[in-house]
Amino acid sequence: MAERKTIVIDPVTRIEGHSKITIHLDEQGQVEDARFHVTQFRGFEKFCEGRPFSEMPSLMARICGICPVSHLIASAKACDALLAVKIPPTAEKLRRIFGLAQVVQSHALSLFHLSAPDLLLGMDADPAKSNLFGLLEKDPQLARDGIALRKFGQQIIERLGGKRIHPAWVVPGGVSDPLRPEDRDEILKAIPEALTIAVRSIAWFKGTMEPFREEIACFGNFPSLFMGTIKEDGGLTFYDGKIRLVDATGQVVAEGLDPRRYFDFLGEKVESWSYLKSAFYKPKGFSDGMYRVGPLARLNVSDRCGTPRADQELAEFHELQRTAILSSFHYHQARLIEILYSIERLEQLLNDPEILDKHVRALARPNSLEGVGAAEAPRGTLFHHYKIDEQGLIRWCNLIIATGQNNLAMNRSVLQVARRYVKRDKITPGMLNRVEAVIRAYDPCLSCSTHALGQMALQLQLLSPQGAVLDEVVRS
Amino acid sequence: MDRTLVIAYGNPLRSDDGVAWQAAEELKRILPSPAHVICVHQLTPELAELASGSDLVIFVDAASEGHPGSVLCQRLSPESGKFHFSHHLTPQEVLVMCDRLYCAKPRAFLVSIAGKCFDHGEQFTPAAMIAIPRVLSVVRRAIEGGFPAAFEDGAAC
Repeated sequence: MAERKTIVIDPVTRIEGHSKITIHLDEQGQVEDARFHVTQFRGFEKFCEGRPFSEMPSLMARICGICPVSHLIASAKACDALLAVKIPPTAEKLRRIFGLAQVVQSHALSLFHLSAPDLLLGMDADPAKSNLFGLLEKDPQLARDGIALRKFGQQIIERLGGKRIHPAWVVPGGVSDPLRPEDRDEILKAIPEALTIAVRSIAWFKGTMEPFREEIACFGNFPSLFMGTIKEDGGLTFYDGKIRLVDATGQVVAEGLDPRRYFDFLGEKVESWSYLKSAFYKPKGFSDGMYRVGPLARLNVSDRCGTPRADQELAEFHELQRTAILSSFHYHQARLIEILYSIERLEQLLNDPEILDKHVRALARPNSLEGVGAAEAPRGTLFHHYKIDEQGLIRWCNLIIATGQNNLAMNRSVLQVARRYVKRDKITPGMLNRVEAVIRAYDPCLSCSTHALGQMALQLQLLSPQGAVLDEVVRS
Repeated sequence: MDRTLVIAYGNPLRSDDGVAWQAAEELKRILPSPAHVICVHQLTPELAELASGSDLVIFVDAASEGHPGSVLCQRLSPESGKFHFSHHLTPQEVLVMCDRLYCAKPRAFLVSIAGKCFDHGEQFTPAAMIAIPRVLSVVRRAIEGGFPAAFEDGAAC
């Protein structure tokens, strides 16, 4: 009888953070199971204990170099709740601008720098060429467009926050400084070109889909729930709103959920083989409560974007499937539509007559010992939950990150792709690249999402060459 | 006068890894105004566009190899080679992108400062600090007259 085998892809390339994939083959060489293991650990939930709550936004921004703004915003909103203040309207609009700028730069990084090589060069391309340099050889304009969109988003963040990475401009109660007229004008000047690029990129992407029919059919193409934040009118939002969940048919499962009460409807489970927790929708229980977040989920739960060009694209996107759009391959297109929306919305906000108002911060001492802040990060819904003592020191912190909420779906996607493409008799780089590519579609950020300490079991196994467990140490 | 871009890169929270940032602060103070000095944690594709508008690009970095405090100068060119991109680029890769995407080939040097300690921290070792005046001298001479004649490619300064 043939032996069972395990194929290990370590590390998974072109994603944020460190992980590996194991594909387990049975005696017949068929894929029996596949897992996405997150192998890095951060621990922010634990080491911020004892710090003054006012430090939290700046500390939390350090979680990630790609989406620090989302952590700043969610953290500051949690601190607003601790202060029990309503922040000035202009501060809220400025935070929205900050967040949208980050959506543009983060989505551009994911699509143009990390996934476009697969889309442009093909899944079977030489791995040595399937990178940014292969992309610039094949389509320099596309590479320039990716750089230009990244730069557009980063420059807005730099103008508002003082620096591109880890800015500390968002503070409890609002933002630290108002928008200067010259910065507003410079950002507005850059919008027409950014819009042109976004429209061109969507056209390019739609033209590339045909050769990927097989991948679309098996890249995370299965029923699940989808979750996102929407405005009262059902419109797309990244800053504030209520939570809506839809099922695979597109029917609303729950809506009007208060993100500040996330613990009523979301649960988390720890697996022994990964540092990434798995979130699930509580009413359906673990596993059946699998849901997806991020661009695909947001567009599945949103009735409209609320900006003209993005609404046109959303209507076309919804035509892809009469039900909810299930294939995770479509995360890419959703990302581009969100870039377009963000640029249009930025223009609206920057032309708001109140946007240069100088009153941008509400000052207060803590008025509550517990606060939750939620926002839509580029990769999905983000929750920060803090408890403080009478001195304002953090006593407990919980972070629920988008990548953890996609964990169950990512694992299921890896298994689906592995079963379709990986066979014992012949393993090709293209097959393995597809297993990685489905993970890239979710744009996971592992640096953001691995913070539970004290809950993570450590399991050490000594295995014989045949895979038998010779010894095992488990620390729960 | 040449348009000069100095890109200092490294992690200022990892002791000597951030010494290029310290050198950059000094360079901002002493270099003539056409010189543009920036500090970044790592090299990213966006820098290719910025570099394309320059006649001279000088990368300043900390190195984990070499005798602590030594300064190494190296002429760079956008040579073809085996390139990978994940989270950051090498100086040569930035130059390749600059050439292929923006049809620009600025003159370029890498000035490396050998560090001693790369642990968490915001302090520099004496060896790294002593190297800073030599970095300033090399960069100034590069701006004034091209690659410093006294230094061979890859030679310690």
